[in-house]
Amino acid sequence: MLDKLQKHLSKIKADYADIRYEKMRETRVGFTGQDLTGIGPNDTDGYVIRVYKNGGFATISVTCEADIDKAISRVIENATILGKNSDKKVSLKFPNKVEEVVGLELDGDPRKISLSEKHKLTKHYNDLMLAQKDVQSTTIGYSEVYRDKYFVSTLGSKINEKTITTSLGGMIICKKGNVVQNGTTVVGGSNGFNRLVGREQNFLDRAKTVSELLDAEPVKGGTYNVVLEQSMTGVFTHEAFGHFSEADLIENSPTMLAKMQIGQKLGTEILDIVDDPTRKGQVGHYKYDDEGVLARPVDLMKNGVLSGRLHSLKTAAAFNEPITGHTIAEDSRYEPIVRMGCIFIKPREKSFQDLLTQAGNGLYVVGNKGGQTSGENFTFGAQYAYTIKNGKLDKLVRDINLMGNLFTTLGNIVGIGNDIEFSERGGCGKGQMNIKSCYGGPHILIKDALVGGV
Amino acid sequence: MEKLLALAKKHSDSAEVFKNSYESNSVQIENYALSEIKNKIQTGYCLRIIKDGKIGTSYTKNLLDREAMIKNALESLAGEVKADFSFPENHNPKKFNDYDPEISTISIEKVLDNSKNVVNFMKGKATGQFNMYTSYGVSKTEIRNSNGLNVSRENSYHANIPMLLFPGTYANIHEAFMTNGFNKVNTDDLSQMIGLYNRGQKEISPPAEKMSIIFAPPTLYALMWRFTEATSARNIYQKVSPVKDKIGEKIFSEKLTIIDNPHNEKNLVPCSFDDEGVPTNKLTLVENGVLKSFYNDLNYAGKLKVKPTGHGYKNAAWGGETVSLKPNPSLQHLQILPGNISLEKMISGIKRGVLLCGSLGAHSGNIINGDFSLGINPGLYIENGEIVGRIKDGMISGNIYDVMKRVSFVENKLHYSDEYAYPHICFDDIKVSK
Repeated sequence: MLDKLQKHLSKIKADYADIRYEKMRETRVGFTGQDLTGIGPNDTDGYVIRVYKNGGFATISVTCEADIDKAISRVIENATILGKNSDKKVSLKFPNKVEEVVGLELDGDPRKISLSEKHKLTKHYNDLMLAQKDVQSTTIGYSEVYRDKYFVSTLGSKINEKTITTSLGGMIICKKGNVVQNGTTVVGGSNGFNRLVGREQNFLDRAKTVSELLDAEPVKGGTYNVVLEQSMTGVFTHEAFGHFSEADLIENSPTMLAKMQIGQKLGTEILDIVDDPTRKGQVGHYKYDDEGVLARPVDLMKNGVLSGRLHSLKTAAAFNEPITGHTIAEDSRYEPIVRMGCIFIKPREKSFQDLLTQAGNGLYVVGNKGGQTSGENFTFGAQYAYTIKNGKLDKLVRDINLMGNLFTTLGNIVGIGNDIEFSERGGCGKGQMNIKSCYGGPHILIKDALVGGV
Repeated sequence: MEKLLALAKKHSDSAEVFKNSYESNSVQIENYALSEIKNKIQTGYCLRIIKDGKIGTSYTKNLLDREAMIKNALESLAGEVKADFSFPENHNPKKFNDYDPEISTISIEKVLDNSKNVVNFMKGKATGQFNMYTSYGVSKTEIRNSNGLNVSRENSYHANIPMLLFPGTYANIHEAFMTNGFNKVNTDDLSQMIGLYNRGQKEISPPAEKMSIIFAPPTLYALMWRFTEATSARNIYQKVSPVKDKIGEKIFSEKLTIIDNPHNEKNLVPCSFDDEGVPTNKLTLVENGVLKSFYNDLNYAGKLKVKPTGHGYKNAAWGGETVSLKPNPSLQHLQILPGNISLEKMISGIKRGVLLCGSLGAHSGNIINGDFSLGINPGLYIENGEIVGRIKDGMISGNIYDVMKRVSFVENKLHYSDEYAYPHICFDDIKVSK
């Protein structure tokens, strides 16, 4: 395949070009309540071609090989038009030439497990959920995404990397009278099938909490000292800070750029933030990004001071900063864009109880429900929370959504725990859905956080 | 398609082939300058086979190996997913005037000239950063099944979404201009956008109390998401919808009438059949506040033993490749009927309130229960009938079965997007936190 791509690449006369071909095999098993709603494998493939010419950089994606010549001609035309019409010419910072085949390191190769075995495990967790108190329904699914990516560039790079991501989980819905509550739990990663086996306790714990939420009071909207559980720390880091460290999101925004200067003090002394796609087993793991760049860990913040950001070839040149290997596409329909791989706050020395004591009164917020960001503003939801009263956990409360301003909140992180954990699922919808972007962190304490109730 | 269908029939009692192909192009203007041009030329196929009351599915993008696609569908069939329905028979779908051949041959230069004209018009009229996203293209959907169904629809579009961003954020005031033919941006509507933006310059910290909130059309999706989940046959069948037993009951203000109107030619993508080939019709969901109907796809119509309503679309909340998604009950042409007051008059009648132009976090919270908790992003603050600035940080929260009973005004104009047509709507006594 690499040789075939090389032949197509040789037809392109430009300052730089690359072609990515991606084959994907997705296997899914899905239950809604008692009903099996879908099962089976599917195969897709496609090409993405990028051309850089005279300061213009354009992309096209194409499904069929028969359309490649038409696509090449169109993408060259668009790169030329961009070069002519842009006020600001694009520069690229180029990586070293690489020739490598990257294989898989798995504990239980999902491709060798039969579909009936995957069906059996999914049904096992689903049946377990449906048997729990107050559970009305479920949406539980198994997902396996195997990618076989081929990349060639005019720098002479030839890379083939395989990755496989598995996950099993979904939503548990409990009902009592007219009150309905739900919660989600997922197990998964990028290092094989066996991590999905024997995980009953994850599902049982979440079902128990969702049932208890039926009798919980909604939280009262207002300002609280909040202790975030690890998955919440992760989603906070991703939403509030992480997107702001993606260079493509701030490159063309003078006001955001002014606030995100390297060396600027943005957070408290205790805050260190890293993005590391090379962490093995994590959902976000990969070796080369979709621009053929070797991924590396990046210190984004050290002792509260902005120390780095995530780049593509284009943004690294625009910022005159080193390339980082963080440019990833959803699949063969898309051009790669700057993405987090695995972002986390580094642990410090405090225990969970230390943080509760430091909070005094407030909320302990648990279980991420996704978030959203818009420049310096962010929001993220939680599955539930406990009130903290005099340093001790008190009542269960529901309907938690936190909102804040990035700069205010980074300065309000006053305690960091010693108990780092990583999420077992990824997911980020920045223009494209990236199921591999994941996060982690220890418990943290944020003072004066805005919580919206119902 | 024919060969694949013929091959599939050999292995099944009935079969269906769905094909979607599209060419799309996008141009991005950032901070008044051209920054990006992207194209896609894509195809995809989805196969469904039914045998002995069980269904198997498979999809692919590049139909290189029909046998492999059949093999995947047979492996899926072996999982024994029940099929409580049969594929529809052939019909003659209504044709709409929603395909302009110019869009498939239009030059990128012509599109760029249009964008440049807008940039030149905007220069000097507002202090904020100006971005514009333009997309145009053609899309074709074809469905054939072994019951003789053979239907297709072809659509073209050209969309321009200009926006003015507030400093330090992506919070913005924007307009959406979408047409099936070449879209020349209307400068009158741009002037209205500039006017709203300029009135929101001052940052304001409002009192944390209940007040009137005008939801701009793009923000109403946060409320309608909760409503469409509750009225989906999927959640009726699962017995988790809070309105499951409320047909005929008043659930919202009498000022609200909500319909699904797939034949309306003002929609960017009118549809006379859904993604399963089932004929569509206008469906009244809520009439003067009273709940009238639920909506379904073939699967849930079969499970609930009711007539299919023609709402089986291959889409999902987080996008995804059309062919990879299975049909799901979905409202693609929602409309809230307009009222009798202009937006400006609505604003002038409010003592203290917010014009919500964008929100964050609509996907969080207990959606099926109707609960919402949204970041204001941005909201223009209204005092004594005038917009006096914008709210920097704040949240609004509530439950739709409470909030949507308290409608004070419905705008007299519909604003169309690719999936809905809504007016501005003012709801009273919504809690603002800060």
